[in-house]
Amino acid sequence: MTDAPRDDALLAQRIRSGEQAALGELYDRYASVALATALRIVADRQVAEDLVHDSFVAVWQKIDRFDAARGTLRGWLLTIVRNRGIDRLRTTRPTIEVGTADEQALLRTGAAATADAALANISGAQVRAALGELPDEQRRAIELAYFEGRTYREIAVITGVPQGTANGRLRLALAKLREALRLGEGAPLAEGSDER
Amino acid sequence: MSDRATRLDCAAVDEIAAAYLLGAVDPDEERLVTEHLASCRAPHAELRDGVPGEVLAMALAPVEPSLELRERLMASIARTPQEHAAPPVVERAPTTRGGLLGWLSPGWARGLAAAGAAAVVALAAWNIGLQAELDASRAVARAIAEAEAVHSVTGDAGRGLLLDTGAGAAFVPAELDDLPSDRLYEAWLIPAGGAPVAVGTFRPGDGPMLVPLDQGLEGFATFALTIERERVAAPTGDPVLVLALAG
Repeated sequence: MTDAPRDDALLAQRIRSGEQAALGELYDRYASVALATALRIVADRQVAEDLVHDSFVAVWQKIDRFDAARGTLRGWLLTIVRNRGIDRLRTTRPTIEVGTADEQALLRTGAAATADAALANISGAQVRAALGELPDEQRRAIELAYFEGRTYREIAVITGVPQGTANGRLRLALAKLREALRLGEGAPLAEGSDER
Repeated sequence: MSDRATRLDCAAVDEIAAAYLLGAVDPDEERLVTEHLASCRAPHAELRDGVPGEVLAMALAPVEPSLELRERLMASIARTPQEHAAPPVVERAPTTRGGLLGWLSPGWARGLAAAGAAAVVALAAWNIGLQAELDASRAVARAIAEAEAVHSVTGDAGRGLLLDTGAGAAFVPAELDDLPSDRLYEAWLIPAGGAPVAVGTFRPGDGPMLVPLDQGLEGFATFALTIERERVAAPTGDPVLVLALAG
């Protein structure tokens, strides 16, 4: 995996101009991490490759929507891969009742922020080390959210904790990752969270 | 989340910021957060500086794709138009409501033929752009991308795409009128000078949908939709969408 997509914006411009070779370069750069992501979500090699294929096609089709000021091309691509994988998961598994009828609505993937330019200089090893420092329950919570497409309400049901606790675990996990990866000044940890 | 049915304040947005970044909020909450951020001047540092979910993907050990995948992708790209570069949509003149006999009459058929043979229209991006829920429509996107030809179909009921998949055909409703609960759309393929052949029924859904047709397009001169109470063997009303096929 390339960990420093500094010239993604240029690559996006070339793709936007219709240069197919540029899309090929994007594939060569990120296909392996895209496939790792898809495979982690759907756990089926062929399905994962189809997801990766479709995601790159979507990048090609919709490149005009990509805004380099909001994030990296890698981040955008991986968000597409993740969302498509989660969509597939959700078609094949029962939903979890979490309370009111409103909360039983079919889940949709959030448009996660793509302010990820700061990740350009961070390696996979650094991220793995930072994740390894998280308490198990916090790491499990963010994995359920990102790789399994669970809402914090569903995470609460799955892990047997109150919704506030599940939400708090997500907040704490991301705050710790932000601090470990030095991605920002660090927002204060969640007031009222029941875990530290 | 009934107490959040209409809007979120800054504190509520910050409370679920991490879940939002991870895509772990309900659809209603996602919408409310998005709406709030669009109109709020507060910094919302946790969202602005937050860790995007992508960071979790970065932690995974890379997995090398098969050699075939790149080749398949580049072949798909070569036949897939980009949204911003998509050629103009070739519209068909809506059919006049002259009754089914008029619809099938030789004069009408000649008119359609004169209007031009069916164009292969690169519409995937156009259609997808109209669908806010594209990412939930993997099957549709893939079918469009891999179709041998994509035809725009318009009429009184709206518009759609007719896909020639080579081995068969499918219809993708794009902006079709909603129907009463006791009605459905029925698709027809009509050979030159012949009777309509029923090839499928559907009701428009909330998101993109793919309607496989029972037969391929080869040998047929016209595609059409009618509105029926149930699947029938012969149309009972006027066509609401019509396309003259090539040949």
